[in-house]
Amino acid sequence: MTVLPVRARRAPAALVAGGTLAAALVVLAVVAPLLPLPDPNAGDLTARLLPLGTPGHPLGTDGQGRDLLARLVVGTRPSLIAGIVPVLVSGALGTALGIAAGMGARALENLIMRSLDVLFAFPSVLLAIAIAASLGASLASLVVALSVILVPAVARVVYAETAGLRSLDFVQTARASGAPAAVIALRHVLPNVLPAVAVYCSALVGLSIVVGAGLSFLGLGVAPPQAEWGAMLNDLRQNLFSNPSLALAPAIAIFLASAVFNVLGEGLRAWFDVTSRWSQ
Amino acid sequence: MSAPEDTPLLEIEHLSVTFGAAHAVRDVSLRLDPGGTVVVLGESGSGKSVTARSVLRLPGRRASVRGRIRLAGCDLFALDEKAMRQVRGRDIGFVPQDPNSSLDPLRRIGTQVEEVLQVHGAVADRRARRARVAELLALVGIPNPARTARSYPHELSGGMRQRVVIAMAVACAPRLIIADEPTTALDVTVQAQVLDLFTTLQRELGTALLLVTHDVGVAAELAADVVVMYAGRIVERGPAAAVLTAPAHPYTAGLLGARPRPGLRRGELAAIPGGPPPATEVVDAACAFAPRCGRAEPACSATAPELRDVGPGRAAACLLPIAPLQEVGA
Amino acid sequence: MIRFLVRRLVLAVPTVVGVSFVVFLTAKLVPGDPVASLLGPLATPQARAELVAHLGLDRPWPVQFVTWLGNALRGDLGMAIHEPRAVAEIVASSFGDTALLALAGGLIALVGGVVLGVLGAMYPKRLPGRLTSGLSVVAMSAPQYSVALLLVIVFAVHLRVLPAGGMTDPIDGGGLADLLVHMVLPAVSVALIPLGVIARMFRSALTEVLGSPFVEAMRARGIGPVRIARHAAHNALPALFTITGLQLAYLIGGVVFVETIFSWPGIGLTLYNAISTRDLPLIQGGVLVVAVSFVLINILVDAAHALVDPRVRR
Ligand SMILES: Nc1ncnc2c1ncn2[C@@H]1O[C@H](COP(=O)(O)OP(=O)(O)OP(=O)(O)O)[C@@H](O)[C@H]1O
Ligand SMILES: [Mg+2]
Repeated sequence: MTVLPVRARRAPAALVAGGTLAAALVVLAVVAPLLPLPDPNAGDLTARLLPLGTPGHPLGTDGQGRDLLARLVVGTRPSLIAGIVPVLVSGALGTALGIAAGMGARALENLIMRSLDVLFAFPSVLLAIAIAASLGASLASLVVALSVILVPAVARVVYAETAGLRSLDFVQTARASGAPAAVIALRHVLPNVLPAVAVYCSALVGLSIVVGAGLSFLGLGVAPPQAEWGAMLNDLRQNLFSNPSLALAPAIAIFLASAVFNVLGEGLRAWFDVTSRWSQ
Repeated sequence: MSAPEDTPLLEIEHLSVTFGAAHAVRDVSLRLDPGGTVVVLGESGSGKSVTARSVLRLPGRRASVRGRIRLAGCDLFALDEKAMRQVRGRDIGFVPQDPNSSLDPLRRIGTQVEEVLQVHGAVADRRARRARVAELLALVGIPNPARTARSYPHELSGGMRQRVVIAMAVACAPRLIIADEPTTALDVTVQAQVLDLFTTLQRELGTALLLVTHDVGVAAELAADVVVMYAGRIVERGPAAAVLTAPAHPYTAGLLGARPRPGLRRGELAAIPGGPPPATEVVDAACAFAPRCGRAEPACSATAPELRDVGPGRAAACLLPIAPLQEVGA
Repeated sequence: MIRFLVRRLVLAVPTVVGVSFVVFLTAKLVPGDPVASLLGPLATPQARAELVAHLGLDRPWPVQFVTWLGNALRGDLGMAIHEPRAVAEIVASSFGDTALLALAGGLIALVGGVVLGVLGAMYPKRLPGRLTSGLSVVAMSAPQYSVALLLVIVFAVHLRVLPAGGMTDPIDGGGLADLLVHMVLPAVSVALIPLGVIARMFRSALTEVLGSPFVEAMRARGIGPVRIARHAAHNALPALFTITGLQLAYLIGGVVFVETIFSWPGIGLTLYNAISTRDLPLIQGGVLVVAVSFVLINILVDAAHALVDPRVRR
């Protein structure tokens, strides 16, 4: 197995900051139910729409009197699931398709790439809406929809990387020695495209969080009593004129979570210096 | 810009150019008579391009320049930017190293040549300007000028593009053409054609030529005055015939030895050991070539040699120049 | 140019068919038995069989697709479920409003992005340069709906200078002034993110062009800064079209979210309402129409690209 050297330097600040914050978010999502917070789904009609800073309800309460801090914290999990799981799924699927197209026969290459072109022709949010709406509102259908819209982008990146590798000596040598394409793909190509895939996918998490929360905002995410940031936003905007500041917390949470993963992606990109590997 | 008959066309006096700590050009002086030719020869990084670009007052970003450059007696460093822009292109034509990236890829060839004429007010009438563009393209040996004028750069070969760039340089009938390695990006047969083109244009237009190259063959072919640069300094100058057959400076001798020639047996190609020092590490109190020089003595690392006469019209900056006789006898 | 356009249009045909096929497939994703869910649990087997035949569900799915595509081509996208109107009619009536908002947003993004990008390239160390870097970082992460809500909170709730909705008919409504007042916030909301990205990418494209050898060669020919700026701008245009093409998808996605927030009566709002009533034919019709127009818009962007760059004009 030949693995091209990936120039790794001292971890850049963006990587350290992004990595730490992203890890913190994941931890928060995992331990959220264990935290000493009020029941996020328990409404109290006598305590509706309390403002920010109310004792006992630091982020206020929503139209049903549910504690917004508790809902925000508990909402971390579905929001991150919508951000991370589709990227993992599409990362695996896109890598497989990209390598297959890059290493396979012409016909296979055309079949895969032209099919992906069709998915690319959609404005991705709309394709996600069509898929999620057909599957019915649930976190699972959200994940499926997001995975589908991310696959073509990952596959294109992997395909381009594979095409770059295909012409390199060690792959040519392996081919000339009669190794089956599948073996070359697994042993020589896959390890070398992984850094690029990792960098690219980390940058997709931010996007996936934003679109995922957006679809929930439109009513396509988790089922009602459950908390999720996009759904909270849609819920709170009904009271925008009487209590504008309540909607700020989920809006900012979505923005920050996506920013954290974008910073992480930038950091990884700078660290691995993926783009400059072929241009020497 | 009128001057008495005997004023040189181009006079560079004590030119020094630094980029921060990098000393790219040190105390270079050079003169070029009207209609004459000077070839600047040297390894990569010796400061040839910076010298050439300094004449146009385009030495590069963050350069600080000292010395004086006169064109037909006029101090170029004293001109304001607007006047200098007129000198560029009208009085001095510049041929850059790489013709492939020296043209706007999105504009037709004709428009780009025409723009030079237009900017310098060379031909006022539009129709006449178009005709002049065709003439210029024909002058530089482009077979189908009218069609080429309508093409885009990517539709031409490298050699044709270089001809276009030369046509732009001579468009306003400048008194001086500066060509910075004009043949490096071209293949050998085209190289010879382009050099021929320069000599023809010089004969027909009476233009002087300052040509920068790292190729000894080019210098020999143009049979002109040669200036050899090393680490930002001039180390030797004189007529090509003399300098290239009997070099006085060991570096020049090394350059000649480093050139592959027909009939040369293997092992005879005596490349100079090592490489030139980085522009940031050249010290003033020593000969910069001493560390690579087979003839160096302790004194060479203690004093910087001045340019001294070593023969008729020749000078070399070396404490221990190679005596011409010795070379003849060898 | 005409040949270029014709070729691109011909090449777009398989894409459009593919896009339609994907939309058709999403209809097949619906879990459970569509007939049962339409007729309810008490339906007689005979009624079931009739409905299956009526919907064509007894035929093989390629035939179903061709029939569906043929109908779609004739402008028949079926009936909406929760409204006694044809899907095509509903989509058509809201399409113009969406196009208007997208156009306004796109224009703001393009003009603002170019201006900011040019200033950023000219003054990289001063305010415009910093603004382009800062804005693009925010733009990469900021969801349009968050931006829209923030703008509503600031301009409609606190400052009370602009309306947060209430646009019922953008095209034949209360005249231009009324339209502009209602359109400012939604248009800025959808524009902000593409604006930041365009500014950053155009800035780097322009910086690259300004440092390229041909610009240096032009200087050496005595060509002045104004002409050089013109050449540089021209050379940065192809990059601009590429960026704009890429940003279009985000712009359209943003329009869907933002229409919902501002009750802008376009396709986004239609989709939002259709989602809450699970009106699948309406969702699929809306998505299909937007996706197909997206394909066509991209051809126009490519054509504009070819217009300024002879190297891609083939
Ligand atoms: N814009 C610049 N900024 C910093 N240093 C520069 C710049 N231009 C040239 N230099 C430095 O000045 C020195 C001389 O460069 P110059 O381009 O004149 O060399 P050259 O003799 O033309 O070499 P070549 O044959 O490679 O073109 C080099 O060390 C180079 O690194
Ligand atoms: Mg040079």
